[in-house]
Amino acid sequence: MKASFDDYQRSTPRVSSVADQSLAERQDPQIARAVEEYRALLKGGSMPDREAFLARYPAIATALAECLDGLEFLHQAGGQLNQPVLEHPARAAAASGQIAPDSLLGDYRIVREIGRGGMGVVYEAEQPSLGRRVALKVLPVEAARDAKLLARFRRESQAAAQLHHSNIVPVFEVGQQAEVVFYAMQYIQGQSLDAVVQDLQRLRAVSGSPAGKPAAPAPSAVARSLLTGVFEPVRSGESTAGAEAQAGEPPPRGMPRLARNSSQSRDLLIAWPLVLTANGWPALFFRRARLRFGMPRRARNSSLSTRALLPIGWLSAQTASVWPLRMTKR
Amino acid sequence: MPMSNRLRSDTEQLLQQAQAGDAPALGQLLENYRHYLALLARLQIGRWLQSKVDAADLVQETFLEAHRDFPQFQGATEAEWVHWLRQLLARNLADLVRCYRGSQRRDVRLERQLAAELDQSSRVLDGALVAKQSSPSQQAARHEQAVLLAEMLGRLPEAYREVLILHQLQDLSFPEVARQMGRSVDSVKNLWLRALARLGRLLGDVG
Repeated sequence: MKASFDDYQRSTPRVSSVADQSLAERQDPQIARAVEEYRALLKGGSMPDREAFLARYPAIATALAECLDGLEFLHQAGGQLNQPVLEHPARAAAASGQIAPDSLLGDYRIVREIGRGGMGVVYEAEQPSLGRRVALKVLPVEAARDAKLLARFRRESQAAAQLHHSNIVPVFEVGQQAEVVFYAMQYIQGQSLDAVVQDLQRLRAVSGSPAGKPAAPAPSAVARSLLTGVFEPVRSGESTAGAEAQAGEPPPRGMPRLARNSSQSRDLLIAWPLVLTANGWPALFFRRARLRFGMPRRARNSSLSTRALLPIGWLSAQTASVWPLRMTKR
Repeated sequence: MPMSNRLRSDTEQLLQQAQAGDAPALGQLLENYRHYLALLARLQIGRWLQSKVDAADLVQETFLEAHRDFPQFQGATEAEWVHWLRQLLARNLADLVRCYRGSQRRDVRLERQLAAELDQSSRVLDGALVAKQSSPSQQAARHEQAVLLAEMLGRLPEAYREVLILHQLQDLSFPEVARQMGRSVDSVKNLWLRALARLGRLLGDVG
């Protein structure tokens, strides 16, 4: 361990310094190009076929192989130091979006997959150190490699973490393990929105009136609250869920200021907590409304009322056929 | 015996001796991780400060504290030992960054951020996405790769080490590396190849 470089040089076979020498003298741009190409492959996250690669350069294979030894080791170990690199199976698992139950991700143990969407997969997980259930949203690996997407993901999760409101799912932690980026939020037991919609449809079919007489099976709490125009939180044990401010509790005022520079200053984040589902819808949707139009001064002074600007989008598309939501009423 | 295994058993044996009051054992224990901590410190410093602060000073400071606070260390494994050292390093790093930024007051956010960054590398070191079947020794082997790398880099001639750290670990472009090292781009590329080849041979020797 303590051998100095000089000792090392003395003890190294002559061949090594010849190889050094020959590389230095030839200044072979072909080797440089080949090594750079290999490095690009490694950085791209693939595990290149080393033998096939070397076979393409028979003339410089020996010198190249040595460089690749160094490169691979540096990439592997250095990646651990600096830019995390996942080992193969785990990366493959994350890339395919399937993390096996019982795997550990940061402080969390995966229990099962809850749902998946365009921006990742949501798992039910357990945090043994605090003995609690969480919902873990895992960003797809491709997205995690994209610096812009990653920055956006972090900004949004930070924003959500700054919101404290009983109707907004709290974010516990944003974490990264190797190339897998995730955030943990409160696990909410409840009913899926499509089940609620089905309930409502059934109800309307029976009675034609939104306040339907219970000839049909009793609608769920969420369905009832939709019918009465107030989207109430579902409470199950200590869990909460909900989408819009219920009567009596005003929505959080003043969206957090995330933008660090003025060009982003109009990027607002609107967190959309939805009811966590048993059969496939993600627990939480983030929508960032890029408000390209000028906003009133009050809004710019970050006293923006979320109620006035909450984009109903997906939620209302799902439910519009059933009942016009009155969630945006002032 | 592979070097990484030797390192681990060495460390755990040394830990026992040091905890029994053997001062030279503690010295050796710290010395074995000098390169690793220096590399970690250097990479972190590079992220936070433009100026070139000597990572060795930071490591020295960390060693002093490790000496002083060693009785408080309760762990027995190499992983615990490295984690402890890293925590000390994070604290010193936060002090340093604060000092360079000229603010006297404690910046809790900064400390937290630094700790998180060091912690992130620690998590990765301690096993990326540890699958159920991965054994503790496999995890340890991964972990030690970084220690081994630091050790290897420490054995390379300075110019070789510089080019690998700047170009590969800090991911700077060749022109930027050339500027920092005061060399031409061609010579830096050439140096890079030779450094990689030398590292590859060193690895072959260690097996």
